[in-house]
Amino acid sequence: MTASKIKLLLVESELNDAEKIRIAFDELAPTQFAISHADNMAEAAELIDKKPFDVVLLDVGITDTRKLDSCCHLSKTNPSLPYIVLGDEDNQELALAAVKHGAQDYLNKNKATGQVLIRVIRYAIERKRSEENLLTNKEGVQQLLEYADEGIYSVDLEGNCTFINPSAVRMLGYHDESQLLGKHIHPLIHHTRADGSPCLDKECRVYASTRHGKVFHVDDEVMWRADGRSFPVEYRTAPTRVNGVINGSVVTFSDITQRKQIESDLKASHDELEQRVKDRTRHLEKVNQLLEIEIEHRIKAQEVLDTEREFISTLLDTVGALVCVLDKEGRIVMFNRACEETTGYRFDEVKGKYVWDLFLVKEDIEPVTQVIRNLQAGQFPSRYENYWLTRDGEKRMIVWTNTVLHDDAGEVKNVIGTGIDITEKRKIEEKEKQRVLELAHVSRLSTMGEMATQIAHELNQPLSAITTYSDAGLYMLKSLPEQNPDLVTALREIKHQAQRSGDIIRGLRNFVSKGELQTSTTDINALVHSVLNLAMSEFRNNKVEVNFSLDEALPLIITEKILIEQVILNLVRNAIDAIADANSKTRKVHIHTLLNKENMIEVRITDTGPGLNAEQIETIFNTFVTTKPQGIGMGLPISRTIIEAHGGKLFAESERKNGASFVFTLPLKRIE
Amino acid sequence: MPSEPIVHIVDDDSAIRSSLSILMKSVGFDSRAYASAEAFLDQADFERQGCLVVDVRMHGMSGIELQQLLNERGSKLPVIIITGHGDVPMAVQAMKAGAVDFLEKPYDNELLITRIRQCLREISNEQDRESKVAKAKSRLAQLTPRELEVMNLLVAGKHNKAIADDLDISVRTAEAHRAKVMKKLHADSLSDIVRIALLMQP
Repeated sequence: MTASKIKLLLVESELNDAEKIRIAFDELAPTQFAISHADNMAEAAELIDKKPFDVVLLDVGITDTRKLDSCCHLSKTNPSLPYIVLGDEDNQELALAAVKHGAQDYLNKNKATGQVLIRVIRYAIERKRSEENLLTNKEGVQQLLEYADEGIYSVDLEGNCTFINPSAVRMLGYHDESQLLGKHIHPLIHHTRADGSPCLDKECRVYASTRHGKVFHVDDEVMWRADGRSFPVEYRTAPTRVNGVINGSVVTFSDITQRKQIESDLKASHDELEQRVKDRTRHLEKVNQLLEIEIEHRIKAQEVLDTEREFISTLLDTVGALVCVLDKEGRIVMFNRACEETTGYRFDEVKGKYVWDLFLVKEDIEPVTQVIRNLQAGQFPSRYENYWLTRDGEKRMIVWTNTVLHDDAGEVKNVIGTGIDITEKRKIEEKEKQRVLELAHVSRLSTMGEMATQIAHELNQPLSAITTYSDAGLYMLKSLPEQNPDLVTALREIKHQAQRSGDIIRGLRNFVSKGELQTSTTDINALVHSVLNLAMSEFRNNKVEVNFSLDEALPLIITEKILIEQVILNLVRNAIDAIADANSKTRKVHIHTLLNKENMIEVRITDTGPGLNAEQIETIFNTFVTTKPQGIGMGLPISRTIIEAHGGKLFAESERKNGASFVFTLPLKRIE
Repeated sequence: MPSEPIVHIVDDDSAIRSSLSILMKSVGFDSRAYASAEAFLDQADFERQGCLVVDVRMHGMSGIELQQLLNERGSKLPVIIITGHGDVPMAVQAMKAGAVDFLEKPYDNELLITRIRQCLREISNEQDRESKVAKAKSRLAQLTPRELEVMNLLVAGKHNKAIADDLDISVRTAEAHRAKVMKKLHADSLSDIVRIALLMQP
């Protein structure tokens, strides 16, 4: 502003006056003003059009109102250009009229000189600029209100409308703001709520805003149009103040029908979505529930199945019967616990194997495969028996009952064999037989006992007589002058054997008839020697060599010597006979006494005879079984009975071709 | 001495009679054999000194019955009873009834001859019963209580096993006790033991 000069247009019809003013300015402020001069208004207008001016000094002369009109015209055509009216006198009316016409000031050109004039000009320019600014602001606000999309209105403390913008008028359905201005607006546009309930004055937030000086934001109400329809609004209401005192409130609102619609649409689609989700969820739940029921059913079915399977499995494993299922080729597909227990094989070891590869004895393979073929051909043997071999090689006698399972096509699918192990039953039957035999034996023995008693009695007398005759002979020989040692020996031997015979008979009689043993301290080795003496001639006659290894440290035991001696003699004689009858090349009997691992005295008599087979080993101790042509088969059973009565055992061992051993044991302490 | 003492043999078995007769002859005894007690009673010369060897079991009158009969008749003929195996109680009974001895079958002929000799000697040379009792007493005194028990059981006719059972000892121990008893009593046989035991009874 200081840089540029104030461009001043002087409108002065009097040239003298104009010149005086120009000179005055030049004197006072030669650098501040650029002064142009116009004689009349038309010339002034012409100049103004040509270039901009900051201020106009207009001399109206002596009360010339015409010139005021032209001045007025000037202000109208150039509203922003400040002008100052110059007059010849202090005329208040003229001054007022000039200001009313838009002039910034009125000056008496005769008085306003020098610095006053310059100040007035400067003020006029500044004032005009301020007015212009204010006007521009006011216009902006006015335009804002005019053109705002939002509806805006204001009310005074009584609720009368003091202002309303065109948008508000339009939205509310009125033609003109005058229809609302100055009116009590609440009953017209805000009387009822969205739900139909009345909106009372005291509840209205617009009033509340006025009353309480607060700002409210509302978006759940409606406003009513002139035609009686309503629309949803969102509005803000704030108190208006003049010098800090509330004088009403202003309301800005917008029609949120669309927004509500969008919201409602959104909500609807959201609801729908939610509904769908719900429906879907419900559907899923239902499906899930069905699934659960299904699962439960299946679990139950599975349980039933499991229970059934378990039941069957338990049943199969519990039954004593062997249950073996084969496929049509004869391979094992099922094998119950009884099978496992009987055979010693586990199911997983035999699964898929051919039944004849594992269990059958050679002789049975052909018949069994035949049975399986027959089964496939539909022929059912009701029962058949065969041996099954166990893992240990033991033979078990099984009675089988078979059934065939067919597949849908009627082909044989499986063979189910149900077997009962009758081995034990057989054994029991055998035992029963044995018992019958034993009973017979016992009754025979008791008969024998009676017989023995009788025999003993009958034989005792002659034996006693023999002894006495021998003694008599010996006495007589003694008294003869000539001694005959051989005769003495012969007679002594006669006597000795007679006494021995008596002893044996008595011992056997007591044992057989009463089961009594007349026990005394026994040296087993001495008994062996005694037996060897007795049997010496038999060894010689049969050309059998005898040797022995006797454990000299054997303890003495309590036995009925005469019977044990008989047993040894019996076994020794059997050994000699076995060799003699078979006419063996090697002809040896070995007698061995020892204390065995079980701390029992063991006597072992081994021959080089033909030996015994397994069956003979089993049966040889049975009564009346003999391998000797002239034997009656009493020796071994009685020997065994005698040994067992002493708490020992008598048994045979044989490796075929290598002869046989007969062994008996005796406990160190007699078992009473 | 009017004549040689005679040994009467009563046995229902002819072989026994025959062999015993030859045995008696072989050792220088005069003897006569009878097939039964009745035959003996009927035929024997009771005037003549001697002894009687009689089997306890015979057809008809038994040896015991014969001995009792002789006792009743006041016969002084010593009687040697031959018993069967296990007839000890019967023999003890016979000795109580006055039999001088018993032999259990099978007996040793030498023992029989010894006993017969003793019998015949005692006839001629009456031994003092009191001295016998004194000797027996001193011998018995040497027995331990357990041995005494064993002796009593032996006299009751029990065998080793029964003794062992009764005394709750082993057979071997019973045998040992028996051997001790025999030794301490200077007994050769069960009959010696019985005789000593009987002497001690009132």
